[in-house]
Amino acid sequence: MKILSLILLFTLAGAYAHGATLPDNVRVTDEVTNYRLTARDGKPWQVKVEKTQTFEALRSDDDAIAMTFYDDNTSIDKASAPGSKPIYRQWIDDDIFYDDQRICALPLELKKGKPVKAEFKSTIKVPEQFSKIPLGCSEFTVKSATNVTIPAELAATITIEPRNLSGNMHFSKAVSPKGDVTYTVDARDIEPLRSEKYGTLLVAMPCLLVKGMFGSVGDLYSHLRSFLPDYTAVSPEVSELARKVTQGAPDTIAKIDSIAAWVRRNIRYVAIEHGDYAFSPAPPAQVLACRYGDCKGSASLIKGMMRAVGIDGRMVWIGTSGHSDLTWEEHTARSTGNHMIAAALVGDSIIYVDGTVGHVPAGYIAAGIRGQQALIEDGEGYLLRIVPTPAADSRHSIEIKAAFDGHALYGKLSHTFSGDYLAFADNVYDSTPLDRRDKVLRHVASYGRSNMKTDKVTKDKDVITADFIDMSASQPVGTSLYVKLSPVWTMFCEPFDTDKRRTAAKFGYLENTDTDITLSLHDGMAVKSVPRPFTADNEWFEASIDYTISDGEVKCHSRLRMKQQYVPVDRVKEWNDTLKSIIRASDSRMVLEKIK
Amino acid sequence: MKSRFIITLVALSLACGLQAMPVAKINQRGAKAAWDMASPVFNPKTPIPDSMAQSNSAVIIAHYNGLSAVHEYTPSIVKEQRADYGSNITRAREIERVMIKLLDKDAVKRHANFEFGKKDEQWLGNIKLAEIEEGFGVRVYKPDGTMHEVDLSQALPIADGKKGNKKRCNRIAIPDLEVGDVLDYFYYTEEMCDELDISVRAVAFAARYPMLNCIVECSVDPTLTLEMRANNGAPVPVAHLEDGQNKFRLYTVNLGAVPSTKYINAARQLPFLEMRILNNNSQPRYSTERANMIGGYAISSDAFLGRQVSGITFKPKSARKGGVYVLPSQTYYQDIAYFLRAYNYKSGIPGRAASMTKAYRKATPDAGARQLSDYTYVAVMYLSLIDDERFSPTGLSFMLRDAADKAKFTIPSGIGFIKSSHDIPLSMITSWRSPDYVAMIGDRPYNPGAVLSCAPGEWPLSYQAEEGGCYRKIPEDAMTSPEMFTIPPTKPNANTRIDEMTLTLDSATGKATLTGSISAVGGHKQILASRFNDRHSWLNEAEDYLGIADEDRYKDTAYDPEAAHEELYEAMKDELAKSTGLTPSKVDTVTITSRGVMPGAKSFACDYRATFDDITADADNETVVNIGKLFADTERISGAERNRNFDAVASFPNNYIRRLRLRLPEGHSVSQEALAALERSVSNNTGSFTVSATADNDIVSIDVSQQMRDYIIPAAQWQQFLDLTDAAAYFAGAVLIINKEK
Repeated sequence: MKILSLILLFTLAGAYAHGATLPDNVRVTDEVTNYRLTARDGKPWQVKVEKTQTFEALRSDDDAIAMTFYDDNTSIDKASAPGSKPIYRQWIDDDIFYDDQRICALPLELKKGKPVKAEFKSTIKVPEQFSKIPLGCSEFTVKSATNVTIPAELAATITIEPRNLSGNMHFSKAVSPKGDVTYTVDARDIEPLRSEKYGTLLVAMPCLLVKGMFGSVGDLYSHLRSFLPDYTAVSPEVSELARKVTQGAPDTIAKIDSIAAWVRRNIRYVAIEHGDYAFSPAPPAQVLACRYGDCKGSASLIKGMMRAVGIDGRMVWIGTSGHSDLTWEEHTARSTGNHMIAAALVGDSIIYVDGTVGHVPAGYIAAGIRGQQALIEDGEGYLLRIVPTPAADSRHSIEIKAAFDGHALYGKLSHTFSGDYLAFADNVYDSTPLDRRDKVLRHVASYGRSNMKTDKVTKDKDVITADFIDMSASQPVGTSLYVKLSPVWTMFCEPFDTDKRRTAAKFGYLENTDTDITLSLHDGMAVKSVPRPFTADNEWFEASIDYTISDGEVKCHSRLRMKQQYVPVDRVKEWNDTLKSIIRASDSRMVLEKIK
Repeated sequence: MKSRFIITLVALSLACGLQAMPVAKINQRGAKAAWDMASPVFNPKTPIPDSMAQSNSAVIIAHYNGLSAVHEYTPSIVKEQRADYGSNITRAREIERVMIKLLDKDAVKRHANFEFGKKDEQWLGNIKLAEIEEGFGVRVYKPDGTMHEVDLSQALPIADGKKGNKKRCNRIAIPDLEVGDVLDYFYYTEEMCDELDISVRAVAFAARYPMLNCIVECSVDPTLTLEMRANNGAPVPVAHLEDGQNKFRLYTVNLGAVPSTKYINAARQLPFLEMRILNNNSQPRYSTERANMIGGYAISSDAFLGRQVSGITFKPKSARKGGVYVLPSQTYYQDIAYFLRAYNYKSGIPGRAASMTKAYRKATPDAGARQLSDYTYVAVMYLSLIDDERFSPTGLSFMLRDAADKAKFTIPSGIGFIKSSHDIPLSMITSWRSPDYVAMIGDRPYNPGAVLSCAPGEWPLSYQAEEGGCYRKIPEDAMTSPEMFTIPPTKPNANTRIDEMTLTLDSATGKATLTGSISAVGGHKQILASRFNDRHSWLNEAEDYLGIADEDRYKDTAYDPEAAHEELYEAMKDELAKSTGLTPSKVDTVTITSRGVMPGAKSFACDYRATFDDITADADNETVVNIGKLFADTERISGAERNRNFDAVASFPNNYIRRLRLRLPEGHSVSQEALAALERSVSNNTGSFTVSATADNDIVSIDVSQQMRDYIIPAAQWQQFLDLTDAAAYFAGAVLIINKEK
């Protein structure tokens, strides 16, 4: 589903910006953007946009690109800068098969200290597209003003609301004698957007929300629903497939799971986003015939198949957690959603089915939609519900039976996955070429252990087992042997560079791992010491590592649980330091001694 | 900042020069050629052996590559007005058809979407120089035997322009494609070149997937010249005259997949056939334009056409008339002689450089030929780098040769030609365009392309052990053979890097400060120099070397010293991450003490200080220093890659010596046993890996020495190479146990 073009592409452009403490050589000294909404017959008609940017090179001659974006519904009316000729080019995104987004760019040659002004004029011809105005920038901007003018006849219904403004941004409102309302954000010293590991760029970006373009959630729902195909008569092919796929399923839930699994395995994800196609799901029969579709298409087929076997399937509009933290009620706009899934109403329950998540366990709810508000089709009306977060069903259990042969640690290990871990393992396995699966399985089995050799690796449903030998886990020193069991395994998070961090961190998945290691000691070897018990329990992590010694064996149990997905920017270092301390404890050595 | 601009601009520039044109007709012509092909090997029901199906993502049932070319003279009023003769055209049609059985989701994904329909034209004024158009078609065969042809009208146009009406190409997602299906697709290209040659073709006899049948056909007008070379065991075609055309056909079966492994040199190890179809019917031109420095018109080609039209209009006098040829390399050396003789340029740089050299000679009467030639090289490169024009390495080689001649050296200068060891050897070239050209003064090479990484007179390691040729005096006739030479293989000692490091621990936090210096010669130097040197640093050194007065120094208005300083620290962070395998949390200082690119500078050298986290861990009452983490730059070769039955090609023979001094924290000691535990010693025919550890009071010395004896590891010695890499990789886990004194 189409995300508001300006936001997505502004972000993409900003991702190039490399942050550093050194001020960028190229900066925008002055930027003024005027959005003027026009009305026709008392309704929003078009949005005229004028943007001027003054670029300057601080320390040396340099190059810059002034740019703006357009699409099938947005025209470029003017693009000019001294000595520059505009370049118009379709934007290619590796993740989207086809997109009508285009870039209009003005390459600028900057002489040190000599400002160059670039100017763009454009018209947004579909006012519904005008719902969120990003205030981020791709260059350091000394001074900017963003003005949004709403004509008097719409001023009572359409308003502008600031969101995530930083301390150096000031929001104001003025009414002209004619009653036109102008909302302004004046800003100074705005850092360029930057993509960061575990970043929250889209969600945390300062912006202006255009409110009232739709009078109510019901109006928005009616608008979105108008793009849906007709589901009253499901095609024979879809019906036949649905019956075949659900044959033998003992109950409705099993049928839903069967349909979801079939669609996920057999419908290729191909995103086509342009014009109305950004909102129009293909009919189920078309998706089935093509065997491909985007999120809308797979949801459409799932709904069609569910209806074919008597299940009350619905279409659902939703914004993923990486896209927006706003509910449909908070921001009643098309841009609140960026994704579509299907849902089934079964008794009092709503079962959410995402057709794009690949090979996942039955009933799996992808992390990106958990806790997000879903706008669910309900005939002329609609339902608003929060997608549930499954209660701790993601778990990674590792069991290791090890021994020491005098040079290396060896033995058998098994990983048992559920929830997100299983989805991860299954998807990796399923998408790997046949001739490389063994290599990938070995990699998963020894994840994060570069010197662990694995052999006889097998995957059986949710369990991966392997023989292993780790040449670097032990080091003899005289009669002592220093052994590193490294019981803590992490797959979804790792320490990262927090220096110069600008944004909060958000983790897609919560680590939830238990490891049980049994090390058999051979004759002539005794335990001199094991690492002291370790615990960490704070806002972010609960972790423990315990060693016990019994007859000829050392047992080690570790547990790691991440408690929260979101870490505010001022707490990122604390999060990082906690994880480092856990890994450091995991790397502590036990000491074995040869007995004479 | 600049790199972002360049990347974006390059991406944008790809749009230029494209026309929106209908593509349906060319698709139909392609479909007729592909689907009417009477070839039984394109059978979707071809059984795939179980052994192949179970271990491969896909299997190519048949691969066909057909190329035909005809020659036309046609009247052209427009051209005759400007060139006194009409069009001299090569028209080529090429069809590549692939039938492939998709055996897993990855193969489906890789073959699910296609781009097609590129079309481009190249004009010189109002003369159309070249035109290319691409057609496409695809069919899907289901396991039940049914077939559907993909409707290309469903393709979506990738289009640029203000109104989105300048089509670049089309994209289509293949409908109804599943694991187990057989995909049959073709790309069909029609190409026209006036005067120019169509681009060189390289047909590979190995692919990502195994190939059951591979057919190559070629049909060429007898007035056109086809020159070929079969490389690395590729089948050798035998042409014959049939229906008035020179033709050949190659048919091979059961070709294995290219192994997914490292240490492969594709140009030297994988079989492929190189074919050049040349239009040698034009009037030979003996002079070239300055614009692109190797002759021909100033063609501003876009990437697509630029790739297709590698030909330029210069033809050596020795160019062969129509026919099919597999020629010895000496024939191309003759062509090279003609090329060198024809080459000219317009620039005052050689004269100005020669004047500088003469002044230097006067001021330094004891300077020998080597010093003079080094000086001339630096002068030419300096003048070219501060010039508004940009020059190709080939053009600069000519300028340097001419500067040396004008300075009246006592040793002969010339132009050398050679190929990189990453490419085919010089003896296998099929064109005078193929080699790299360098200036030769005496027996020393001066390579403008390696100005940031090599000192004057130094061969880049990419030419190690390669054969090259040199014309001292460009012969009047083509019968003079070039002087041939072979660059002696380097020994490990000639490519040595020494890292001296002092590690200071903070056992409470696990952090460590590493103060170090790097000194490198040979290949190691060239790698480091290319990472740390830039145009500005080179100009600075050159001005010092050339003795240019402060007031006359070049003012580089595009140089941002603060950004350059930051980039230097980032480069050191990356370098330490590569050389240790552990990314420092911070780089505190960096100083480059020798950049290794001026005359007499044999080494690259620098000093640094950096901070690393997590160097220590606990064990009982002792501290574990994860020493191995600072030597974790070797990756263990694992899985199927450990099995190898063909030679491996590594980087270059070299020594890498690292001497770490660890100052023990106060109140700590280390036992002899702990030191002994670090020691390693593996030595065999491929090289060695040794570690020694000693202590002197509170200083622990750990010396890690790696040697690679050669850059080619014979298959028979693969296990020995594994022994070395295993030992180095496992050392990443090595620890030093430090006792807290009671």
